[in-house]
Parts: sequence; structure tokens; C-alpha cells
Amino acid sequence: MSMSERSDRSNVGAPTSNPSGSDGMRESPIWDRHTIDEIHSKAELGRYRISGFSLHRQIPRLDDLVFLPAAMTRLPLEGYREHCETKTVLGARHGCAKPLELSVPVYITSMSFGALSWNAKAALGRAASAIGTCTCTGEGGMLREEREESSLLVYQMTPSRYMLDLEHLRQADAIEVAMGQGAKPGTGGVLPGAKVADRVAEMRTLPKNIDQRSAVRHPDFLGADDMEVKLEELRVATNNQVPIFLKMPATRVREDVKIAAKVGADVIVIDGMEGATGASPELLLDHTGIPTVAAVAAAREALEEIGLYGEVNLVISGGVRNGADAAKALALGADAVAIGTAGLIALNCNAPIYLDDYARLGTAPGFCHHCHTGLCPVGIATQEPELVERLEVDAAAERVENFINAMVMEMTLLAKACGKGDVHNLEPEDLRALTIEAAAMARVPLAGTDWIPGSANSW
Amino acid sequence: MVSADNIAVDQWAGLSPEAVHLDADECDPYELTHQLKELARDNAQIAVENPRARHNLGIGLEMENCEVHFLGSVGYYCGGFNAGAKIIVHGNAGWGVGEAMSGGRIVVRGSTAWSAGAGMRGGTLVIHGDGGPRTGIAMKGGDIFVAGSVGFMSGFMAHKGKLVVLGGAGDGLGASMYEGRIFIAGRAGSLGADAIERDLDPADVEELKRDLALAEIAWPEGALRKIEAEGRLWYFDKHDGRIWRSI
Ligand SMILES: Cc1cc2nc3c(=O)[nH]c(=O)nc-3n(C[C@H](O)[C@H](O)[C@H](O)COP(=O)(O)O)c2cc1C
Ligand code: SF4
Repeated sequence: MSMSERSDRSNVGAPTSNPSGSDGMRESPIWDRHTIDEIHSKAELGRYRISGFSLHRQIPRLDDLVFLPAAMTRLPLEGYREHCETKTVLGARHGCAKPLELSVPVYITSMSFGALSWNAKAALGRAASAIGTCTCTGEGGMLREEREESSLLVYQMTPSRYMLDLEHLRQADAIEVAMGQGAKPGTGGVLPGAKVADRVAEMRTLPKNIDQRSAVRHPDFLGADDMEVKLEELRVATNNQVPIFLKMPATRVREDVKIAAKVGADVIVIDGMEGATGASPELLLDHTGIPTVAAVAAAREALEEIGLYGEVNLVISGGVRNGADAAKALALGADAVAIGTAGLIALNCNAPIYLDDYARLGTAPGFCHHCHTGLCPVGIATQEPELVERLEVDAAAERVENFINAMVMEMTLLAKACGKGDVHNLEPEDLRALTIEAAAMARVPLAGTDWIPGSANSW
Repeated sequence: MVSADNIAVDQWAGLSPEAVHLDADECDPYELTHQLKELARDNAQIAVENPRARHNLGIGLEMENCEVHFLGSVGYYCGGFNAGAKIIVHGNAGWGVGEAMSGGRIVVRGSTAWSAGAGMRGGTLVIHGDGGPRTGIAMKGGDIFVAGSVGFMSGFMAHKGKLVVLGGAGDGLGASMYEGRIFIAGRAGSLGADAIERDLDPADVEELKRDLALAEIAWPEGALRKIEAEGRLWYFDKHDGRIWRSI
């Protein structure tokens, strides 16, 4: 039986804390309902659980930082009236003919066709084009609809190399070499059989409906020296027309970023541990990688140490939900942020419609993380034609466009309040941390102090 | 430029006197690819001298009308993303020769290092010497013929396509394949996870005879064996839990 045919009893819709009634029921913090449910389902499945969406635990986040807008020492810019630049150029490092010129420092991250439906891909592409930003193919090859809708499309080269050949490489506006993602560092992709429908199987050269578990190591390079040659090969194959991105999960960021810069990446994409997934072993979501807030600071430091900060571009993803998160990532050193889940939610993920279908999956709007089942109630993470039709491309694209515009307005609002005429001028000095953990990870002082835990030279 | 030496090399490489010569000492990989495309003419032979095992030679070529000869050994990724050209390497090849190729034909007169034909989607790769480890890894189509032996993990996760080995193979042959097919005459150190030996049927024999004749490789003395995926890793089944736990 295919793993997707079994129901993963991985949903617990109820709140974690026990209502403080006098009914005498007390939940153990060690053996809470989630833990009990997890053991029950493993006892039935005989394997680890697989889940979509993001992690299920509290971690330090960009949310734990605040901006210090202008007061006496700085002059703010006028909201609504004065201009704040958002234009972002990625990938000019090696003088390729066409670095990516984005109108905003936000783009749609790599999410594969297969994990997502064709309508979801088309809508994301259309929205990104309307905004003037890029979108990315993800692992599953280049979908025709996506290429048509996206004025700027980043083509991802994963270890599986699905559909990768000269014809498709030439259609890319940038190439992203994938070394992993925050949701599942050190492991390959997972696409349960229910989603390996005809077209997905064909694009990935797989038998239909198998539980696909893709490779984690690239087939033709192992270390940094080979990779440098590999990146040159990609440049030769594309006649150095387009930039090369290198995406990796946030683990040993400081070392990894330096190596990525050395092998010749034009743009380094770091995906924090909160980075989402279409399907991943659940334990990897919660127990691997470091938080986005820690990753940005470490990546910036690494590039500064080797004198390439500003020359190699830095993109951050993982749990970026709004303009505040994005502006903080920029202030900490990113040139742009890539968003996944926020874009899917704008499409309609977890929207309170088709309630019966959420219920059938054992979940409800606000709790759904069932992308791995292939039965997405709103037509985003599915290959079932009847479900896919529920996602109207026009309307969905407009929602995503609105959302990204709103997000960028939030960024410029914050930047102008901090006295910046360009969102890229936000800097660590504009930030303070609300928690000691975030202060240590982001390398910015704890609010009201000049203390950066673990740092010899506090401000 | 015509010296006694040149004539000897040309004869050995099967080049006609009209062959156009390029010198790899005088151009970087970008320039070489560019020049090869410029020089492509019907039935032309282009000979690249002094390859000196340089990396990224002859990348992303699509001209089907001519032959490109490398007169010596090549480095990594020679003929990568090949989409139609006929490339002949008169020497050995480094890692990933013909990786991501989708068409055309690459013939290596010597041996190849790791990952020959990695992820290829079409076309033909002929290796007259030995193939290294991971020959045909992640291949999605096309054919690889190896007159000698291949190293460990060859055919790893082959989705489709065909790997024919006239010698033996290292450990883990054909691990975790989908619809890839391996034919091997010699001994494999071990079969990889989920690889299983199946009988050749008469259609296989016909197909292979045609293939090997085209590849100019002699039919082996011993019998060929067919290695395919059993498919036990294609679906999760809790009764296979022990296999899944350890791989
Ligand atoms: C449905 C889905 C499919 C994904 N597919 C891929 C993929 O094919 N390749 C990849 O590198 N990352 C993939 N990711 C990870 C995203 O590219 C990105 O790293 C992550 O979603 C960012 O975090 P966010 O969702 O919190 O914005 C996927 C994520 C989702 C939600
Ligand atoms: S609504 Fe769809 S896209 Fe959103 S979490 Fe559920 S299955 Fe995934």
C-alpha cells in the first residue's frame, strides 16, 4: 500500500493547553496529546510521520526583534509622500549578461510542480510577473504554464535533475543549485504517490503513483572543488547570460556561506529551519537546522569576513510572513527575501472554505498541514483535477499580487520611519532584540541595553 | 601547421585532411564552445588539439551535422548538456562526461572517471575503456555502452535508459532504480538495494546486438544478465520496515 493511501494521523486540531477548569484533567507537558498521538500513529504506520507545512515548536524568530525608528537622532522620511527605493538586483557578481532586476526585494521561492498544482504554479507566476519579481521552479522540472506566466523564472537544479537538459536550461532566467532546504536539511525530497500523477511522473521520469524519495547528493560533484568546476559548466552552457543561485539549509551557515562564495555562487539563498515543505519527515521540521534570525546574521558575518559582503548577494527564506519580517531580514544583511508559505496562504491555503474537505483530512482551516496527502481542500497542494479547479488562477494571482504589494508597503513604511530612502539601507543598528536569545542570534543588543550576549564588543 | 606529427595524429583519430583544427591552449571553455558552434558545417570534422584534461570542454553543443574530436584526454563534464553533437574523445575523460545530455553521441576511446552520463535524458555514450564509479547515475534516458568494467554505485537511481557493461561492476550495482535497465556480462561486486537479476528475453538480445554493433563493441563471450528494480522501495510498506530503517 502506498504511504499516501494511509491516513497520517498527524493532525491534532485541539489547543495544546488544557482549559483551566476544575474538571481534574491535567495534561503532562512531557506526554502531551501531540506526543501521545505521535506514538500511536507510529505504532500503526511503522515509520516516521510525514507532514507538509512548517515546524510545530517555538523558536527564536525575526519576530523577536523590533525597529528603532527616528526620534531625535534620525530624521524620518514622509510616509505616502517621499520615495523609498525597493529595486533589487541579484546576481551581478560574475558579470552575467542578465542579472535579475526585481522591482521589490521579495520573490516567490522554489516550490515544485508536483508538490503544488498547475494552477497554483501559474497563479504564483502571474502574480510575480505583475509585481516585477521572480518565481522559482523548484525540484520537479519546468512547467510550461509556469514558464509562460513568469517573466523571470529561476530554474532549480536539484540532485534529482528532473527534466534538466539544454533546452530547459536555456529557458531559465537564473539557475538555482539546490543543496537542500531548511525543512529537511541533509535529506532528499519526498513526494507521496498520490501526487505522482501522470504529468508529474512524466516530468520527473518516474513510474506513476510511486512514493518518490529523491536523492540528496548531487550525482556529479561531491565537494567544493568539483562544484566550482560544475558552476563554470553551467555558465558555459548558458553562455554566462544568467546568474547562478546556490540554495542551502541553515545549518553551519558561517562555513557553508564561505564555501558557497568560493565555488562561485552569485546569489546565496539561506533557508532557515522554519522553511516550509510540501512533504518532509516530521522530525526534521522540528529538530534540524537553525532559525532564520540566526542564519541571516551568521551569513552576513561570513561574507564580511571574506570581504564579499555586497558582492555576493544574500537571500533569506524561512518563516517570512510580512513586511516586518522581511525588513528585519534586510536590516540584518539580506538583499532579498524569498517567500513560500505566505504566498500559499495568499493563494488560499488554510482559507475557511470547503470545510467538509478539511474535516475529511481530520483537520480544519488554521490547522491544515496536509499538503503531503495530495488532497488539499483548496486546490493548491494537489494533483486532483477537481480540487485544482477550485483554485481560480485570475483571482488567486490577484490575491498574491495584493499581498506582496502590501508586504512591500510595510517594508517601506518601516524603512521610512527609520529614515531610509532605500529599503536596502536598513542596517543592524536599526534593530533591538526583545529576548536574550534573539539578541545573541541576531547579534543586535537587547532592547534598552547595549548588550549583545556572547559578543566581546557590545555596542 | 602540417607536420609529420599532425598527419600521424589525424590518421589515428580518423580525421580527414579537410578537418578544421582548434587549439584548446588558445581559448577558454566559453570561447571553445562558441567557436565549435561557429565552425559547425555539414559533415565537418572539428579537431580540438591540446585538450590537456581541461574541464568543461564542448559544453551544450547541439549541432547534429558534424563531429568534434578531442585529440587527448579531457577533464570534468566534457560534452555536458550535449543536445545533438557527435563528440569523440581520443583519450580519457574526467568526471561527468556527457552529464545531462539529451541527444547526440559521445564516444570515449579511453576510460572515464566518476559519474559518466549522470542524469542524461537521451543520446548515446560509448566508453571503450572502463567506466568509473557511479556510471549512469540518475540517468533518465539514452544509452551507455561500456566495453570494460564500471565502478561502484553504477546505475544508482536510474529512472530510465539503459546501461550495458561488457566487463564487471563494483559494489551496489543498480541501487534504488526506477525503470532503468542494466545489462552486464561480467561479475558485479554486489547488487544495490532493490536491484534484482532477471532473465533476458529474445527481444533484449535483438536490441543489444543492434546496439553493440552500432557502438562498435564486440558481443561478449559470456552471457549478459539483466538487472532491474524489483520495486520494493517504490512504495512504503510497513512489512518492509527493516529495509527502510537501514537505507
Ligand atoms: C509546497 C512546497 C514545496 C516546496 N518545494 C521545494 C522544492 O522543490 N525545492 C526547494 O528547494 N524547496 C522547496 N520548498 C521550500 C521552499 O523553497 C522554501 O525554502 C520555504 O518554503 C521557505 O519558507 P516559508 O514557506 O516559510 O516562506 C517547498 C516548500 C513548500 C511549502
Ligand atoms: S490548505 Fe492545502 S496548501 Fe494549505 S496546508 Fe492544507 S493541504 Fe497544504
